[in-house]
Amino acid sequence: MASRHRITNPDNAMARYILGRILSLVLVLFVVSVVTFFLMHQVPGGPFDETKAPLPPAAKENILRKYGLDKPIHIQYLNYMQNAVLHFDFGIPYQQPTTTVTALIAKSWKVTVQVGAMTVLLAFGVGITLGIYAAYHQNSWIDNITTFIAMLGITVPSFVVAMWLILFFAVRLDWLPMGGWNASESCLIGSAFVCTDWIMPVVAYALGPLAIIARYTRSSMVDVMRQDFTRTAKAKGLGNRAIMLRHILRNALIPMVTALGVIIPNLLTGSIFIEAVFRINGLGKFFVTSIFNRDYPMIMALFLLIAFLWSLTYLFTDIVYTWIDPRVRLGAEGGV
Amino acid sequence: MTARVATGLDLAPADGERHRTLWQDAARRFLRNRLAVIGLAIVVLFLFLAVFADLVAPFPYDKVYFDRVLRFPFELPGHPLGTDEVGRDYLSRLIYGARTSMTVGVAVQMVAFLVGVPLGSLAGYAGGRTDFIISRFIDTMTAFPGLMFSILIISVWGGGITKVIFALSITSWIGIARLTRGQILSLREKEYVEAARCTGVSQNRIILRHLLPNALTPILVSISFGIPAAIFGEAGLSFLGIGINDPIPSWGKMVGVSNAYVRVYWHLALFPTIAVALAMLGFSFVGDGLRDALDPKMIE
Repeated sequence: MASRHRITNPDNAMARYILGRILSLVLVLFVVSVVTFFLMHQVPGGPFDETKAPLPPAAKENILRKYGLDKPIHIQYLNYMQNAVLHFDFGIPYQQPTTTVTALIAKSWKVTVQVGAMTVLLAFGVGITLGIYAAYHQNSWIDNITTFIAMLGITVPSFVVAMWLILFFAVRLDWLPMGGWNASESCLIGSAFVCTDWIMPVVAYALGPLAIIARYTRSSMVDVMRQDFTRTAKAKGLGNRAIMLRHILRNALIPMVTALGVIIPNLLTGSIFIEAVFRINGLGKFFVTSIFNRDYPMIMALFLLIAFLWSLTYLFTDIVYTWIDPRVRLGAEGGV
Repeated sequence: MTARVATGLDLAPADGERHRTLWQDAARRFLRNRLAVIGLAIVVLFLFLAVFADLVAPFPYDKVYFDRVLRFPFELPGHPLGTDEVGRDYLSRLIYGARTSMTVGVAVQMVAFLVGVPLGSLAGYAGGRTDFIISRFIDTMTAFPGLMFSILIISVWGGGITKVIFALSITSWIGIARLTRGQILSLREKEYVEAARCTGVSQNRIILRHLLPNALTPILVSISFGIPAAIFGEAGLSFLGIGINDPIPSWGKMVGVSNAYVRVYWHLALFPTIAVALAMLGFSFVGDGLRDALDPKMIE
């Protein structure tokens, strides 16, 4: 732990801390926007290169003017940011000129959020449960299974798991659909209520974080179970349930919040692979197609969105962390 | 205990007990850990394959035989793991794939070490405004969506092993920098550092001889977990088809390419999967073993 910390009114310190973090969030978004903007304009080839359909020079000039691509790059950047910040207008995607970037993202973000939310639920629900059981029944069969799943989840990338799931459950057994998301033929009740095409993407995606969470829970449970206060609680005759809920679990879950802070942002971008393998039309898939199509406005908007969500989750978990663990002191971030 | 290592002075007790350093203790504990030894064996095997691929592999990785396309394991003598979609020996490609993975993993962590440790030490030791600036920089970089950034960078500058290493290095040093800063921050208030300062030891010497060696333990553990993470990253990029360029083999790319054939030719996906999983397993075991062995709380 760091030794430097100011002793101030805790509420005041908290407010100052959050304010500082929000300022740095704005800074992050600024840096991300600058770097992304200048980097992506370096992508070889422009969006209206003539290899596919040669245009008369006048027409090309018109198109470039329409999208502002004839201006110097820093002017393009300023124009873009002005529209984005003031009017929430992120431009027109080159791949679908009839709609706007905002509309396209609005259409596809729900899918990615659904995938992510179900993954988080599965990973944390099953991961924490397995971890607790494994800690309570060390070296039992359930502990061994947990270790095995943890091993699998940590050693095999999600897209590889996805491929094998498809091979077994879709190709060999024909139990589950190969891909898609909310496809009406795979939904049991109406559309998008309970769909079988959710199963494989979520399982494949959740296995990695689930493994980390199970391992984490188990080891921090075992740690806490060895603490003096647990022994004291046992000695004074508390029931197992009370000991577990009030003494062990509460303390063991504190480090889980940090795990959450790392896992959730990663889930935001990791869905690129899952969406690619299962042909899900979410943000991740748009990100890849946008890069291949040099769709500047789309790349830019996706980057800003992800960076924003990413920093927001970091901020959020840090606040939760300081809130549930009074031992963490604000302004002294030296702890490991 | 720590002071003994840090000062480099010989403080061996006079009562005839044999002098053991922290590292000797750690090595002993590491070697008694069965999983750690298994992990180490796997890592050494893969490193060996990576370095001596030219001698071990039965065929060059890019030698195509159009008359032996898509053969199953053991179907043809001389191709124990079969051949791929253009008739290249799969065993050889797996072995050369180890070279790709190990190169990326080690190189990325080397960059992480060379950038993260100096930056973190500077922030932790100097404190004040320097610390503030570096810490804000680290915070800013933490919020960078690393994977998307790697994809963007590779699409700007093209694939290939150096570009992949560069793309993955951009965010790989952040954890190490933060870790080093935290370590230095807590170590620099320790009595032995104060003692060194009082006796007029120079600042550089304090950092290099007293602080860094003691801060090294978690850094080392972080690196041993960082290598498989980088291998994962490379596999992911190559799986998407934008990482390592043909004909250089990469496990991730082999899985990705096999997607089109896997319904019949299962071996094309199976072997690279096993290779990735084994490499991950090896490095994680070594990382776990190192952490346990170097943890001073575990000293008997």
